[in-house]
Amino acid sequence: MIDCLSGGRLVAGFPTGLPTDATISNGVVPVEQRERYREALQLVLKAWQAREVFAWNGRHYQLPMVNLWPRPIQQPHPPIWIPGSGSATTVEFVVDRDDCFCHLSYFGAKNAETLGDYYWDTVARRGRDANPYRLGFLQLIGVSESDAAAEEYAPHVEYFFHKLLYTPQYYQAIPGYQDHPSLVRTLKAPLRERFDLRELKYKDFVERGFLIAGSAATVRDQLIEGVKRLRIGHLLALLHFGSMPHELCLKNIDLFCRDVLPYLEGIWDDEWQDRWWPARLRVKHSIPTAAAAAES
Amino acid sequence: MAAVEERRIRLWQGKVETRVEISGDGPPLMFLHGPWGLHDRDFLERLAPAHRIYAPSHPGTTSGDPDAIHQLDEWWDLVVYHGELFDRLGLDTPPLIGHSFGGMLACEIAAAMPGRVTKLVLIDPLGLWREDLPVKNWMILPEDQRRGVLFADPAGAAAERFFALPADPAARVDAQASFIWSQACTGKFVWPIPDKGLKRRIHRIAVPTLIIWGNRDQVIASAYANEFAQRIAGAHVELIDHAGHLPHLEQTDEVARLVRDFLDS
Repeated sequence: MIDCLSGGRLVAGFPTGLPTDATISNGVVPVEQRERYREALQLVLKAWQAREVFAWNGRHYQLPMVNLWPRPIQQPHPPIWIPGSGSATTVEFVVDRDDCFCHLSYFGAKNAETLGDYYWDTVARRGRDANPYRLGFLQLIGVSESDAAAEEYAPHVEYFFHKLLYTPQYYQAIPGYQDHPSLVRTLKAPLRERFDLRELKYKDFVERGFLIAGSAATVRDQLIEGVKRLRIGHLLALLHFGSMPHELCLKNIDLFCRDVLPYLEGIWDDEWQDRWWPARLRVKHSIPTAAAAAES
Repeated sequence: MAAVEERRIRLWQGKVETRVEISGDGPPLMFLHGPWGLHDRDFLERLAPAHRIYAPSHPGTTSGDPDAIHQLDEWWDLVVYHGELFDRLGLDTPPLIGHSFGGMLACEIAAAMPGRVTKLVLIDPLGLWREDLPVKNWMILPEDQRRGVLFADPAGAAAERFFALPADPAARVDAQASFIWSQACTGKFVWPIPDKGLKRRIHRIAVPTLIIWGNRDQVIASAYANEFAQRIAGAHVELIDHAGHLPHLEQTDEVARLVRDFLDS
């Protein structure tokens, strides 16, 4: 429906679901969560593409007559992004499917190198190309007039990490949530570092890169470094977070779009085509020259 | 220590590998472990002089075959699978002892196949639910509360042994993974509420039954002992002092004596 309303501009995200959501709040059996999710994805894909009514006899879902209407505009179906944050199994699944892996670390590019390297190793090992657009990455960003002025984001980023993102660690470690290979891997050498979020303050979040904050120049430099280091094709710029008021959010978006975004947009365009973005939204970008930057 | 033989058998059309620990001498019995895997050897050793004990690992918890858990989906599968296990081990009508999850499983087997079980020992079994005494979800516990929830004496020797990890790094990872994966595999059949219809089937249990319960069980309150006893004709209840959810580990001698006397009677 959204694909139709938007004239074929939907990116379809399919998260596996956190244990807090899926198993604790909704009662999904932990050890079945992954296979159930995979079956549901198969069902959605078939429903999007089938020309005739069909019966679905799955292990977790049985439906006598699947008859989807309206069918999506994008053919064969909208691009699929699958988020992950630390599971080797999810990385492998997404690479094998050739979908966009959307790394929702929330801990910033600096803390994403272990998983990022594992991702690109997996891409190479499984014979996929090194197209940066197959990787999405979420980053908290706060742009201000100067580095010092960016402290205006402090209460909001602390609210975000201390209250909104915080769940007790044992809620995230329900037995069966990770499959056996990922469990053993996590016990040996985790792909994702754990932090006690409530111990960290604004200064720590900035220093450790959870939040990239400062003047446009500072934010731009750090983002370009992160984007190139991790080969990020799709940057999910999280510009509104925590308790941020409307005006500050508008300001952040405005500064980011004017003084940061133009320097990021064309980074990979000369080499790679974005196969994970709706065709109608694909445009060629060019990075502003140093002279143009000096003028503005 | 009595000699323990390990046997690995493939069941379910070769799709599930199951490790069975066999020890002791005498008429056979089967022991079904709880959610954390087979940690019950001290207890079983005390039964070994008079019994041939078969202690299988729950599907998916045998090392080397973790994905076996995906071969069984529901209680009916699990009960039929245990019928196959009995057959392969040559056990016609063994007594069954089950702890916690294993106690619930023993009830389901005895209710579904009344002719194949001669006696039943239930140690703090799962399987029933009272609104006023909800069973604590042992799979959602902070690490610093686990000991206190499972054991009456969180600093006692039984708790120490239960949570002990090997010093060798590789063996440590194996032990941790096994502890977590055992909960995942048993949890498949009881998540999110361990009330899966036993109340409608339990009346079919028709064998002498001994119900043992730790007086200070914080996972399933000892009041559940009478809930089981009311539904199983002629069942006998023994409450164990100074014991939590694993009374056979905290008061091993006393529980072993009660079980031996019951099996000999």
